[in-house]
Amino acid sequence: MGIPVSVICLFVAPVSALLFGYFFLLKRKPQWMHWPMILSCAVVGVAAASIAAQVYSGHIVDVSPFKWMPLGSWSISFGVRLDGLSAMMLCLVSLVGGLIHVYAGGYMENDPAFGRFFLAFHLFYLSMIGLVVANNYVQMYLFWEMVGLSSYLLIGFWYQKASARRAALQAFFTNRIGDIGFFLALLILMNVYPVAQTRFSALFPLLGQGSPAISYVGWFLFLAAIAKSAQFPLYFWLPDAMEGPTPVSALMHAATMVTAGIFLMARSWPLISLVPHLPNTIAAVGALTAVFSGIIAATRKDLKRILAYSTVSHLGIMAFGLGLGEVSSAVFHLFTHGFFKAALFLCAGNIAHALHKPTASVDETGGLLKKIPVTAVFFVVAAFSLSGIWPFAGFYSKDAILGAAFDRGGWASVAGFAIAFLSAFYIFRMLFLAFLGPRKEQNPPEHPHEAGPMMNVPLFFIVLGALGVGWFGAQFYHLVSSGWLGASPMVKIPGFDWSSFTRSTSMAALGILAAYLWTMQWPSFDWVWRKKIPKVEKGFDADFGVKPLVGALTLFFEELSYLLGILWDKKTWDGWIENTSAWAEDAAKSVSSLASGRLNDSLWWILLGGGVMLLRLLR
Amino acid sequence: MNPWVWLISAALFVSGLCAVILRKQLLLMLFGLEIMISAALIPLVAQASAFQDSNGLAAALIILCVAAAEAVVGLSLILHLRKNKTLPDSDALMELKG
Amino acid sequence: MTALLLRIAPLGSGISLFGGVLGVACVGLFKKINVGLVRVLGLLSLALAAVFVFAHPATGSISTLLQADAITKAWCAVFYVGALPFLIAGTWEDEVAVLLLLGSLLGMTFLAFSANLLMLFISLELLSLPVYLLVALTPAKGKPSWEAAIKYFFAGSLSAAFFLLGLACHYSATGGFLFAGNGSFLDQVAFSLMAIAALFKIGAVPWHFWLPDVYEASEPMLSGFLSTSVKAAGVFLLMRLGQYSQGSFISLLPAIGALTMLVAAFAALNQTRLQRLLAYSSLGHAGVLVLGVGAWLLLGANEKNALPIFFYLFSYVFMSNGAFFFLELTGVSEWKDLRGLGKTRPVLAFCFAALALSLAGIPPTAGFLAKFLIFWQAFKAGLYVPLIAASFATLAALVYYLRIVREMYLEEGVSTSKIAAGTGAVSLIVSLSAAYSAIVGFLPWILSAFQRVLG
Repeated sequence: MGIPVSVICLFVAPVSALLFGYFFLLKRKPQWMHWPMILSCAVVGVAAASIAAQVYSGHIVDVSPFKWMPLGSWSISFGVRLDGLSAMMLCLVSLVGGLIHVYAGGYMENDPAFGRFFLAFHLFYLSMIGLVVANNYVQMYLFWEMVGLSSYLLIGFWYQKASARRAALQAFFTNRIGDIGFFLALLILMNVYPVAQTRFSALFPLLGQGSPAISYVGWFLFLAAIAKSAQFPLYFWLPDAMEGPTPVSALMHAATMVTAGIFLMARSWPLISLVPHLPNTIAAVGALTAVFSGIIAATRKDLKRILAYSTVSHLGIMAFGLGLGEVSSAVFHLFTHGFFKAALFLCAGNIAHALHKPTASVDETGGLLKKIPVTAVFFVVAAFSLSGIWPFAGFYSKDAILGAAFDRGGWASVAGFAIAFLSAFYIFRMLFLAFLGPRKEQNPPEHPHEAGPMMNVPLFFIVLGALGVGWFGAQFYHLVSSGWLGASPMVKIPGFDWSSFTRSTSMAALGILAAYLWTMQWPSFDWVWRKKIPKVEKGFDADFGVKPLVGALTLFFEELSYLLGILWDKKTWDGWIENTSAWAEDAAKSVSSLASGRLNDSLWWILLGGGVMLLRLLR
Repeated sequence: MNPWVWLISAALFVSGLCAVILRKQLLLMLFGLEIMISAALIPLVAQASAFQDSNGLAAALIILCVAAAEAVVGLSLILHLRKNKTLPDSDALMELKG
Repeated sequence: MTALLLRIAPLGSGISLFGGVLGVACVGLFKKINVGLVRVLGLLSLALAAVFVFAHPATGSISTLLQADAITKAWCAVFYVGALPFLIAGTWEDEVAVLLLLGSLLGMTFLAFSANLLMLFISLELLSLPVYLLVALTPAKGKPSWEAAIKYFFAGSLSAAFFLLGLACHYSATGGFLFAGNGSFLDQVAFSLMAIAALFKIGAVPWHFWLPDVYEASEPMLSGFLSTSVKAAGVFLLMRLGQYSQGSFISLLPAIGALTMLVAAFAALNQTRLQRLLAYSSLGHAGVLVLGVGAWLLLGANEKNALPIFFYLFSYVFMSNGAFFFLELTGVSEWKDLRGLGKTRPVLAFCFAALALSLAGIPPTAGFLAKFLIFWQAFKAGLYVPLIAASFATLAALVYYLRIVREMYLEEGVSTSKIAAGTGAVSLIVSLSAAYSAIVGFLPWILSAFQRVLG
């Protein structure tokens, strides 16, 4: 068989934790649900570390022991591939995931559905692990679906809230669009290269230059990544997904699930790089996403929404880097982003926890520096990392990508400048509004207090990562590039380059200054423009009208969910879709009313059907 | 084969069809079904004699038996629903719908 | 020697099933009917029939009316397994239901062994007539099963009359009752007419109006049998007719299949009663099967390619029986009855959730695998537009399947389900079906079993 013990641990630990939790703990002691999960995370973490060490020393594992569908010429086997990409993702998922499990143990303490939370959370963890070690597209697709399903369960965790249910359904269906793309890509691959059985190691060497089938596959995979990794225009589910609890946002919508799309593209890079125009399109879409959502992030009031748009923006940066050919830099940014974004989300969770609310808005915060200093420090570190300030982790990865952008010149360069400016601007705006400045709230809650150790200790380690992982760029590259299946070796992470350093850092500094002026110098300026030009705020709220246009897809599915009795939130653009929701309801009613119950009617239909069959013959 | 056979058969078949689809009384609909079956058998028998093939005739007899069995089943179903010696219309059977 | 063995198969199974009918009728002569004895007799005769069918080694023509094909065994397997849950777990007051069931199975066995169209017709009627009566005699609680049976009877007999007309036309065109067509216009008309009966049996649109009524008004356990074995018989009929028809109605099949799926998905959205919802779900699956048969026919109609259809029917036996038996077990009839089941009876809720997800076709269940194989074959056959419509319908159908999961786990409320005593057999079937749905998606060893049978 040849399956390494570490791989067995990778799967056995979470599965047994889930089974134990479901069958034993759920009814009897749901409040202990987090312990088997944390234990499983620890086991997986150790396994991941050993796998990473193994891969680092050059030992790649690619086995397919389970013949799944023995259908003669095309049969799929299940197995694992442990190479640089999967080892790196395993480390990210297990480390950040494990720490967030501990954080969630504290954060979700008083939630009545504690047990159900950890079951769904760990199910997601398992799905993500399965996704990153898959050695063929079919297996990856199966785990991709599982990730989508657990996302649905977790976003809609507080299902009593109509907005949460709606957000969950919206996320599910938007991801579905991407899943269709993935599925079609699968079909084409199995049809055109049946002998490879969609296994990466067998498939990539077979690819010729730009055959039309491969083009379709590449574009469909890109579609899948657009939906899952929230690129423009299928990004809007991510901000709404903030309805889930903060640990969910931190793990899924910052560090892991949304990066699955980027991971897919990185994995498929040997294929994608062969498709004409695709890498450039990926870069363009990524840059557009990054800049567009960066602007929106700067105008949001809810803390988690700001971070959500920031995540969309950074996913855009990763796609941007990928499209420019800097696979290792994009993946490096994925890695560092996992740390600093998770840290930021957990800090937002701390802030909300301090204010005794499920989520907080900048309207309610301000002046928290004195009250929750530890969180403030963590936030500052993560914010510097996000803005790409040396020597924090984000600098190394972001600068690598921006360097490539500046080198490309033209629109890429402009985008690079904008990205550097915006990311610093919106995060420091959030920092200043949240921690400094006067309290604006009418009725401040009693004792905003710092979170307990169960929440702050894992946060500390994540922040440590946000601080320091960037220093290990060379080692990271060595790890990620082992077992690379592309025809040419992976592009190195560029070293320190003064010109790109100056350009990005100066834009970032400009961003911080602008944020300071925006929020502190005239403390109410952030408020003034909202009051003076509410139309513009409305425009920002509707993402410049993207939502009505692209939302036509989600609208249809939202109408279906309307049929299930989910209440609408009345937003400005909901007005004209209510007509179309009536359409779906009418369709269902009219189809259903055809079955009138009258016998003679059904006999007429039989005759009609027979007539159609006979008429067909006349052609 | 004589085209009249087909014409007569078609006429009978269509009238049976009309009886089944257009009439509401269940018993009449059953009659229509039997007429249709018999109408379908006419070309069978005619063709069998044209081919001098006894298989066709045997088949016609077998099918007639089957039709009889069908009539039994149909009658029992219809008769079960009678109330005070009157049979319901097909329009009365509208409880299941949607 | 082989000739003798060949003869024994259909004769032996026919005799054992008919013997079962007689034996059950004898039991019925007593004043106090021992239902357990009836059940044992039914199972015995079915087992004996299965032995005769599966034991025969060879294939070939037996007589003018009967033949044994490579796939005859596979079809018999599907028919018998579909009827098994009802025999094992059904509750009856008298012996009539088992009698009728055995009669129907007799018809199905001969259907599988048919060598010409006349035999096909006789078997078709032989399997349908008892089913009409069975529907009438086993009502769901408080439902008008006689009304449903009458609707089923009339629609079915009308289709049978069309089949007869087709048979007569075919005889006129070819001079015999053999399957092979000769491509003349009359023959094409004949096959199209005969196909109406097959499509009716499957429940394709627009011949489907009986389906929701019949499935809703029958006892759920019977609906399980109807939705599996009877539907399989229709599929068999369609495949046989299509194989020999030389093109007359084949091109319509993908469109019919896609249309059926769409109608089923949309109509189901409007349902509040769960049994009717399952009926429309069954209709949706019928659409997938029609699409699958169309793809199979377009790809050359050879036996190897029939694997997806068999696997789908076989898995569907488990999924559908499981779902209907769940309704029987818990007595839920509306959406609100499902609420809170996730908490009060987690294992049962998990079973139904697994079945619902399998019916929806969500990986990694057996239902997904089955649907995927059929869609894959349709893709290979070049049926892109029907596939798109089918995917759309699958997506729309997801709404109510997921709603099942949601109502059980996430909605607050107290379930009104009461599980009666002595329903061990029913819960066994539910759990077995759920297990099949959940596990076979991972380990489709059953596929290799079918593959060996089909060569």
